[in-house]
Amino acid sequence: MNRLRPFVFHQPTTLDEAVRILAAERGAARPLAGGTDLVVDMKLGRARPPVVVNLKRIRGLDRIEPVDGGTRIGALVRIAAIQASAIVRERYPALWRASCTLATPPIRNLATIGGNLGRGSPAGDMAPPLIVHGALVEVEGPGGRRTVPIQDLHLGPGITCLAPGEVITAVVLPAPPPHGGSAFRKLGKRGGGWDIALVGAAAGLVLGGDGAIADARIALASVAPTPFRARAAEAALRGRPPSEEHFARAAGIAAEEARPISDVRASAAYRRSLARVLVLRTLRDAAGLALDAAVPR
Amino acid sequence: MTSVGRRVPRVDAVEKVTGSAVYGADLALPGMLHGAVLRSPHAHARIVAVDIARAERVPGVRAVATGRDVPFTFGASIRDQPFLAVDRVRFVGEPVVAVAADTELQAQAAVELVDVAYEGLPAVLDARSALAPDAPLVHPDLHAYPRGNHEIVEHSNVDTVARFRHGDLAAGFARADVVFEDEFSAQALSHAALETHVAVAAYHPASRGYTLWTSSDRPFQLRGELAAALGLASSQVRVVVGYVGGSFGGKNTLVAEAVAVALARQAPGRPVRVELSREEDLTASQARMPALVRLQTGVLRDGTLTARRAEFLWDGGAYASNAVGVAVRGPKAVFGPYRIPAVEYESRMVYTNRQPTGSYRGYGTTQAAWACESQMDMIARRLGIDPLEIRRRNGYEDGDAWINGQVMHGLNAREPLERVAAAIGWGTVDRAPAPHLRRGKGLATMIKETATPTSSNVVLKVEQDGRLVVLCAAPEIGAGQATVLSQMAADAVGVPLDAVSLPPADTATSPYNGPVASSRTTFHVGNAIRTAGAEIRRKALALAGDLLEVDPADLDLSEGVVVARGVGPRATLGELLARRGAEGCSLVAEARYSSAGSPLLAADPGLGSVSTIFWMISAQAAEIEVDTETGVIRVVRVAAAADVGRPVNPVGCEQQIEGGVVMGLSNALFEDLVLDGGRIANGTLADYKVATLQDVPEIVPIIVESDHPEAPFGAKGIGEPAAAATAPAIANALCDAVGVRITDLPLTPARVLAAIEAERAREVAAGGSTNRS
Repeated sequence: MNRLRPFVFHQPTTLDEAVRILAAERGAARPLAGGTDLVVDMKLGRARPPVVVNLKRIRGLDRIEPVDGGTRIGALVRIAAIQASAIVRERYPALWRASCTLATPPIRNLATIGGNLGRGSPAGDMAPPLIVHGALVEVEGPGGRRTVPIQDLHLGPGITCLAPGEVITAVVLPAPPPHGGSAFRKLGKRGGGWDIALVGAAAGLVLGGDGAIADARIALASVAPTPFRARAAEAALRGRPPSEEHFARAAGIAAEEARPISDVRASAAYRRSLARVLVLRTLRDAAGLALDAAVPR
Repeated sequence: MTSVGRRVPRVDAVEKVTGSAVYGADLALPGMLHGAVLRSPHAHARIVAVDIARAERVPGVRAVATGRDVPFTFGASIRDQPFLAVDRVRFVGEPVVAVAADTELQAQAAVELVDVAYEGLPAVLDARSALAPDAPLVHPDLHAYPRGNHEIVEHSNVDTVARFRHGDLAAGFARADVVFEDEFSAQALSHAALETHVAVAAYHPASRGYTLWTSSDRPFQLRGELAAALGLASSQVRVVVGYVGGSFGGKNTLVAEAVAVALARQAPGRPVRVELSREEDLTASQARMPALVRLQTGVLRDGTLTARRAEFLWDGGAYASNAVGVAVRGPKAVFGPYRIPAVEYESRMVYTNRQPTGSYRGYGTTQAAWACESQMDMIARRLGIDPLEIRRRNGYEDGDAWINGQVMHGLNAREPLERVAAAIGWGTVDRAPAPHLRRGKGLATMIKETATPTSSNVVLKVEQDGRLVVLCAAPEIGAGQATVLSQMAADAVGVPLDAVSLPPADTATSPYNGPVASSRTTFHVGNAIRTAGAEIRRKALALAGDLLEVDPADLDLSEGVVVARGVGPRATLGELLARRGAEGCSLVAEARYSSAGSPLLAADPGLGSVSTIFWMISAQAAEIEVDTETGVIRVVRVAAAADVGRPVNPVGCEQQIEGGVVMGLSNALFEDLVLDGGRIANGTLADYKVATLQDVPEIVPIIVESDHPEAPFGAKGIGEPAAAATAPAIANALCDAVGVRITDLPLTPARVLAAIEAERAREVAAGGSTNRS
């Protein structure tokens, strides 16, 4: 089997210590959370970091907790814990759906939300629903703490806006809007979830008092170098009634704005047609939840 | 109580679920070194220079081997493959330099320090371009290689040509109302066995011999191949095989073994272990042969087949490996379990610059049945005949003549198809739960012969405690061999199942056996066990008669207890042997079964070599749901039936059928080793997708029985036919669901969606012209 090459392994127990080590190594060190990507890359020789900093000994980063009406999810929260969270399931359906189909149960038991975001894969499952939910990413680094809107985190494949020494500590989701609904769907190579997304789509709709769409958010995975927000499609929905006609039009616009590439997993053309279908379906799902929420019980 | 026919748990189950079973990958020997391999980054290149100096200086490195250190070639049919590339590399991933070190990490680190200079050569990357008159030659010296007596085309890339003809083809086509001509392709697949290729080799300087502990389905054939390659007498090579973590036709030549042997020569007295990583296993071991199949079939309007001509073009990869037999024998399955008065095939295999390809569960039948059964449905559709009905109309009956005139006995040709059709509710339409989904049903059937003639020897031994040991070189490759052989041995002798054990296969102590391949083990080894068991039984009763002073004719042996007629139990087998006291005693019997010379093999003049000792027929029916907007196929249900003769262990038969469906489904929908400029573009399990439990539909396994005159306890084989019908059944269901026919595997969502969209466009165009007229 492929053997790991020697590396220096740090196991800090505080965030300060982790930041200090990572900053001192100036980019030569890789933070380790679930390790489901990093360790595979190291075994295949795609990554040979001389220094690895294990973040899992740091306490307090693995909690899902309420904050200011919203919810704070620590960076070390495992995907399986998100899947098991009643708060996420009830308040953030898009994120919950994504957590149910990320890879396989054994990987969900290891992989963390912070690792999924920090890895910066264009195919990552967590970013599109977090964009739809309007999440903020908390970052701690040598310069202190800062907050980054989720859609500004990723700059390119595998590239984030984090400076050397900065680590993701949490994502903060605002309170879900009333009369809103959100959804996530993806398609992998084996035709379902539990796989790398050929395309992943998240959508969120908020209905106004007049029944029209007050706000729409659409975000896609695997159709651009970074998680992709389909702003033109969102604009086409605002102020419109939540109807099949407008959803189909918006889905078409989203597919047009997407910038997919062809690779061994799928062609650009197939990804584009999937983007249309998945956006349409997530809009229907989201509208269903929003309409349910709008009906007084 | 007898064992055969009972639903018994696997005899190896406890060992395996508790993790104590010893597989090839588990072996650790004193002083063992670990190997690693530098592999070619080029599809085709000349090796200009090799510099191992830096690698040799790495701490812990004990030996470095280059191609020049191992001046031998191997290959079961054509001796074309070096242990390590000598002056030329022929595929991306070919072993070039190997290192043995104290640890695997040291060896892998040292390999990276080997410098090899290459000069690129033009590469042949698919079978069609290999045939071009100006194609580069993968093996310019093909004509000079030692090889068997099969036909080749010298100074070309064609390393195998096989032809078969029976009946009056011209008359058959002349009589036909319609002649169908279609082309089908089947992709390269990885066997993806749970255990990757792994071997430990040791060189013994005193005897100039080798011991090889390995994960292989054929200890004796591997020994023969290695001895021939090294110029040794076969008994100078000892091959030991414990549990094998899956073969599926992939563990039948020197893969990890070649590298381990090359390193063992350089490190005398030190065993060297080589284990392929999953990525090496996917990209640089042996794949299922891709095939292009062209079928020409003559049919009467009522669906009666009159003639079929088939052309096969196989992509054999960079070395012939064991693929020659697939190219020679595999095409027989393309005629299906159907009476066709005139048949012909021409099969050609070519060298290309991709990883070697070879046999895969079914030995060419997965490719042949894909073509045959897809076309049967195309014919049925065009002629307006029900797909079940056209198969009934042409299906074999017991007593029909096979393609070589051999009279078919001992098979149940009709029942598999009827049973799966009934199980799936053939003829009824299930409504899809949403407008963008369509449901469809499809059928496929197939026939498989077995390698003939082959032989099996066993030695049975009763230990001093009365336990029965079966010595035979039939490794348990995961398909249940150990269980069915133990059951048959228990009944043949008259001992309980838990008194039987099968030690690891060892060419030094086990008698000769053919490979654990071609679904032959139960039938051939079982026959030898039956004979040897009767002999042991006779000896045991004679001993009992002697010691108990009873006429052996009045004694019986059952469940390990000697019973005197009219008296009752007298002694256990163990007690009898113990009575020999200090003098000691064991009972031994040996027997051989060979299919050669069986009267069942009689065929038309000159075609006897095509005969088979038994046939296996299987059928599957699939119900699928197609998402017409994404092209995704969801398999809802598969009914799968196989004629096994009589099941020795019905649970084992059902597991083989279910496993075959999962494998067939995975081949049909997901798996494909994609070549991009000579390199496999999806060489990890993240991108080479194998079906998981999540993808498995409801499977209805159906055991169909028949009476074979030579079968031990009535049992034939089951391993191979379980997989081949799934892909065409799914493709036929796809056509039923959405009216599109896809002739290339796999049926990926993108391919299905493109076909659906093309069909829609065609309908719109046709609708438009109707409106205009």
